[in-house]
Order: sequence, then structure tokens, then C-alpha cells
Amino acid sequence: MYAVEVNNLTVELDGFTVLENVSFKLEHPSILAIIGPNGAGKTTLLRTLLGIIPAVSGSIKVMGIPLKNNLTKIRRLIGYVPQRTRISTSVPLRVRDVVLMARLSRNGPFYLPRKKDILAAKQALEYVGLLDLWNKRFTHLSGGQQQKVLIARALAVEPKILLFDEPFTGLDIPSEKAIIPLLYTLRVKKGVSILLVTHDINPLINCADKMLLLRKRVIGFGNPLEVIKEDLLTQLYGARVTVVEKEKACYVVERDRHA
Amino acid sequence: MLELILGSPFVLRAIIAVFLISILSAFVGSLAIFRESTFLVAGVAHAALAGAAFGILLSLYQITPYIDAFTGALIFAILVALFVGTVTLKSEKASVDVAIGTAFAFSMSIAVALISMIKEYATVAWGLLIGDLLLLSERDILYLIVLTTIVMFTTLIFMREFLFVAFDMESATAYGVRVGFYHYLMLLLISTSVVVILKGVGAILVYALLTIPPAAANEIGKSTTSVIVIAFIISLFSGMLGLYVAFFVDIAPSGITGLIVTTIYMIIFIWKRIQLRELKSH
Repeated sequence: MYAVEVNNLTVELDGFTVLENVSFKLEHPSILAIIGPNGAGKTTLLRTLLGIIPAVSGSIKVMGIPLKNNLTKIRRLIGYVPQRTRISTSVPLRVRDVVLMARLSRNGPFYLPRKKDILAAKQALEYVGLLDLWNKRFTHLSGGQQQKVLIARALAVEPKILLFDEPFTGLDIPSEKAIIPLLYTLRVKKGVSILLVTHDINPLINCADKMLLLRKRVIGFGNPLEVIKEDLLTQLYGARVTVVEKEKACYVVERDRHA
Repeated sequence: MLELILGSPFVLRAIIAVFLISILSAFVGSLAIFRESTFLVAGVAHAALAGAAFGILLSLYQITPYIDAFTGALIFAILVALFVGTVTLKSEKASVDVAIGTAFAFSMSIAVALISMIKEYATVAWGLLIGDLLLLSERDILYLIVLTTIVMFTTLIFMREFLFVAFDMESATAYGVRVGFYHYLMLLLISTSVVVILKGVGAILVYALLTIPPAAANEIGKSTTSVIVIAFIISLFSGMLGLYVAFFVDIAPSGITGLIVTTIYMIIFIWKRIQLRELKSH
């Protein structure tokens, strides 16, 4: 069973080709890190998987179901964690409201929360270790805590696949380190596939099952040790990148940084 | 004293209006704050002014039988809200500000041009710029009651979706929420509310009276419900105090109310910053 199958996907935005003939297959459950420079089409790929942006050509299957004509069905399989920086800080939501909002909204405006919804939200929050913040205002939390609450919101919908858009942006190293094991246990214990867009390669080298090097086209797809090669990364970033190997693990020295 | 106040239908209508405006401020003003669309309130108010002048012009020359100052204002306000709403959905924040600014300038230019064409009725249109709570008619109060009821129930029914769209539009789309529908519905609620309270508070102060109470409440509220309740209390207190003062001193009540809400906001803002500083120092 494949979590995601993408075949010859081409996407255009405002007349510009953002993704061209992108193809890959991700087995379920596994963790895929999608990496590439700014403007490589990483976020566009996620948005196309969510049906927010239409494809010009090619096809997508999620858990074996074609995306075309099955959007509602597919969205019920997916949990989405957006870039934290895109979230409004003007809405005075409590943590409980945030964790419940996706699950409840799926059932329409007239649906009232039931015991099973509250339980699912509490379990999701407990899973990320923040149940004690249930009644706190979301904007009063630290960046790392907010990120975990957004993960809990995605977990509360009981997804088969989780999509993350730049989960490490704006996070300090301890917060980053707290999230990575969480992803790993989600895959191992809950059998959730994770697709993760990031510009920061190093945190994921030892945790991702597969890596997709994306720069409008697929530059490389495979196990981290297969694709973290200087020639591929240099082709990906358009600048020389050094890879250091130490104790069977490799680290990218010159990292791509977001402005 | 109480007999004197309650014996006057003008004062009674003003008291009812303040109560209803406070409900609108709590619900619609809070939505504008959550959606970060407060500037839209000012833009829509001035578009309504142009629409009112347009409505007066049409009825003056009997061009269309159904359009008067109110319907003209409503049409212009909704058109501006739709324009701004479309730009907001498709563009970055900076372009949205420019779009609202352009719509603002465009409608004020039309207002000035049209008002100069309806010389003998110009005071009616200019009256909407300042507003007067003590000059509201029974029809104005009826419009306010109907609209406040619709707005309150619509907001309560769709609050969860409104909040999701305001908080995180992209995820709302990803989780299957009809973002476009709720986005435009919110703007429609905001723009019609602005038009209905315009005659009472005026285009200049509608921004202050509709959005500053929820902005102040958002500084101290711990949840959306508490923000709405606190906004209602601030708005009602300021409105009633403004009316009370205006009863003894010959000053427009909306002006005094505007001064009270802005003062409350500044006090809360400073108090909150002092609290935050103390928290950090511990």
C-alpha cells in the first residue's frame, strides 16, 4: 500500500510552472522529508496534495484513492500542520479550541462537540505532552508549544497521513529536538505516514525513511544516505554543499536558510 | 430625572440604539478584530456615505423608486466589502491595505462629487459623517433590531467556522471548510452592520465604536467568549455614559462615547504592558 503516489505531476501558478513532471511513490507508513531551496515548489506540492491548488497534468493517489473527484474523502485521511508563522495571533482561542477546531469543522457548523471529540482532542494533546495547557490561550504559548498544539490538532482528526509545512521554522533547538522523536513514534506506534516540507535537512537525516530533493523537478528520491550526496545537493541548491560523514550518519554543513 | 429621560422618545430610542450597537460591536467588531479587517470598517463606512449621496440623488430625480439613502449606502458598502474581500483572498497583506485605501479614496471622491450635486439635501448625507444617536427614527431602530438579531444568530451559528478561517485560513481549506463562503459572509455582516449604525454614530466614529471595544477586550480576554462579553460591557458602558453626559452638556453623544472607548483602550493597553513587563522581570 502506498501512502502517496504522484505521477508526472505538473502544476502552474500565475502562468509559471512550479512543479514539472514530479513522480514518486511513498510506502505506508513512512516519513518523507521534502527538501529544496526557496521557490522549489515544496509547499505547492503539499497544497496540491490537499487539493488547494489544481494540477495542470499528472495524477495523485492518496492511500490508493485518486485525488480527482475524491477530495472530501481524501481530506478526511489527512491531517495538516501549517507553517506556524502563517497563523493569526489576533484570535483569542484557547488550546482546547485549536485542537478541536479541525475535527469539529469536518462535521459542519451545526455539529455540537460530543464526548468522543473531547476525548480525541485530550488524547492528542496528551500525546504531545501538553494536556495541562488545555484551557490556556494559544497565543500565550511558546513557539515550540504552539507547534505541538498544531500537531495535536492534526492528530485529533485521526489521520492516516500527516502533512507538515516547515515545522521547524522559528523554533529553538530544544523545541526542534522535542518534535523529531514525536514524528518517529507517530510513524512507529500509530502507523501514520508523514510528509514534511523543510529547508533544514540535518534534523531529519536520521529520522526520515525517504527524502525527496525537489527543485521544480525531482532531483533525487530515496533513502537519506542515498540522496544526501554532494553532487545531488549541489544540483538542488545551485551552490556547493559539503556533506560530512561521522559514525554512519551524515551532516550537511552549508545549509539553505530562509530569509 | 429618570422620568425626564424615559419620557423623551428620542432618548429612549438612543438608549435602545446604544444597547443594540453594543451587541453589534461585541459580535461584528470582534469578527473584524479576529479577521484583522478593522480598516475595512472605516473603508465601508465612507463607501456608505457615497452610497447614501447616490441614493439621495436617484430618489431626488426619481430615477429609481426603490433606492434611497439607506439602500444606496448598503449597496455601496457591500460592493466595497466584496472588492476588498476578493483582494484579501488573492493577495498579500500589503496589497489588501492598498486596495482598502484605494476603495476609501474612490468612495470619498464619489461622495464629495455627489454631495455637491444634491445641494439642498447635502446635509442628510453629511449628517451620516457625524451621526446623531438622538435623531434616530423608529424605522432606524427597527432596522437595527432586525439586523442585530440576524447578525447575532448568524455569528453564533457559524462562530466555529469564522474563527477557523480567521485563525488559519489555509488549514481551514485543507480540512474542508468552505473558506470563501465564510470569508464573504463575515464581510457581509461587517458591512451591513456598519451601514445600519451609521446614522447613529457617523462614518468618522463608526470605526472607534465598532472595533475599539473588542480590541480592548482582546487584550485581556482569555477566550473568544470572554472577548465578546467584555467588548459588550465596554461598549454598553461607554455608550450609556456618553448619552448621560450628552444629556447635560450640549455635545454629540457619539463624540463623548468615542473618547471614553479610546481612553478605556489606552488604559487597558498600558496596564497589560506593565503586567507583561512585571511577568518578564519575575
